[in-house]
Amino acid sequence: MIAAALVLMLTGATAQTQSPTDALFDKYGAKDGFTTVHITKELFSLFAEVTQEAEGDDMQELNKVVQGLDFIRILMLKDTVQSRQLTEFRNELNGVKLKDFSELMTVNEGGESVKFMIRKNGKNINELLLIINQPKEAGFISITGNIDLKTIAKLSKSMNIDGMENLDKIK
Amino acid sequence: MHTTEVKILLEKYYEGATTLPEERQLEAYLLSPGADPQFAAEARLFGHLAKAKQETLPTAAAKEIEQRLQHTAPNPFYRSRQLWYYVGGIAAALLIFFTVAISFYRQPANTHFVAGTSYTRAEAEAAVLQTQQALAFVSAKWTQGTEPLKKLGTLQNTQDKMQNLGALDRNVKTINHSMTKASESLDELERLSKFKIVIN
Repeated sequence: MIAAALVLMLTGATAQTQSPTDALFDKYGAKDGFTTVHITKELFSLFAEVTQEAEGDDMQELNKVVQGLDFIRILMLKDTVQSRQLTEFRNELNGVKLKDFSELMTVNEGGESVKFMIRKNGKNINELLLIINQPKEAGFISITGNIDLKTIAKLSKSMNIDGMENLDKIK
Repeated sequence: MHTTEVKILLEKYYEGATTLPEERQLEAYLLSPGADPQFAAEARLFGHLAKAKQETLPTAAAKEIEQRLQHTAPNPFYRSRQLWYYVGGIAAALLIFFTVAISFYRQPANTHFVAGTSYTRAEAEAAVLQTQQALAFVSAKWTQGTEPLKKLGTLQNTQDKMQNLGALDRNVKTINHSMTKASESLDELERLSKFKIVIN
């Protein structure tokens, strides 16, 4: 009886901490055709060391943003020979129940749709989730930790990158 | 037995290709009194061989040879060579094992680890680049989405300013109206009075 209660408690605790995107990441993370990126807090802590030789304000801004983050996860699927796979994944992605999330906005442009979702704990944003639907690509970016949207908003001004076209070049 | 057949069998015999029954058949023919004289040399050879087969070693000599064979001590050279084979085999196996182990665990010469972590410098740099790109994408889309809101804010400010201007205009009109009223009152007073009122 006690054991059953403990199992229930542990299951409940796990379910609470697990984000809905975890299941998608676990399911598709190792499959062919998917680009997956998982950057941990430990790697964020190395940013200062790695970027100390780099010049420019963008690196300083980047350091400031990542210091509060726990992890960044990216899961993207590009349209390949098996376009059925993209359709199925897109349907599953759009059907994910995000009950703790609230939608901030959706940016539509030229057939591309990027939905901004946030999960809050009190006044703080714990997770920022971008659900990306492009004609030839679909996936999500999940940023977890202490997120400061104002600082993130400044990044695009200091960096000259505004797309994800180079993400799949790095494995 | 036909001579052609004998010749074929003899040829096979010298090549070592005859079977035991064929050899017996050949021997029986050559040692028989009816053997063709052209095979006289072969007949002599087979005769000697048959005789040799029947010869046996004297019992005493056989025993002596047997005893010598039994009591011959193993050659120390061969024994040590056997030992060296074992030692050499083990050494070769160890060498292969350590070579594979070292090459498996050794990192490329141009890779070094970031202090206090299990990440290589290259891995950390790749993570920085990916984070930079991901955050830049988020930032760009955020800016793209919030830009219209900023424009709306600017429009609102302009509207507020216009409203302020309108209020100012109304105030000016009120002042003008008051001034007109005041002027009319002064005209009325002037009409009633014999004295002219001068306002500087």
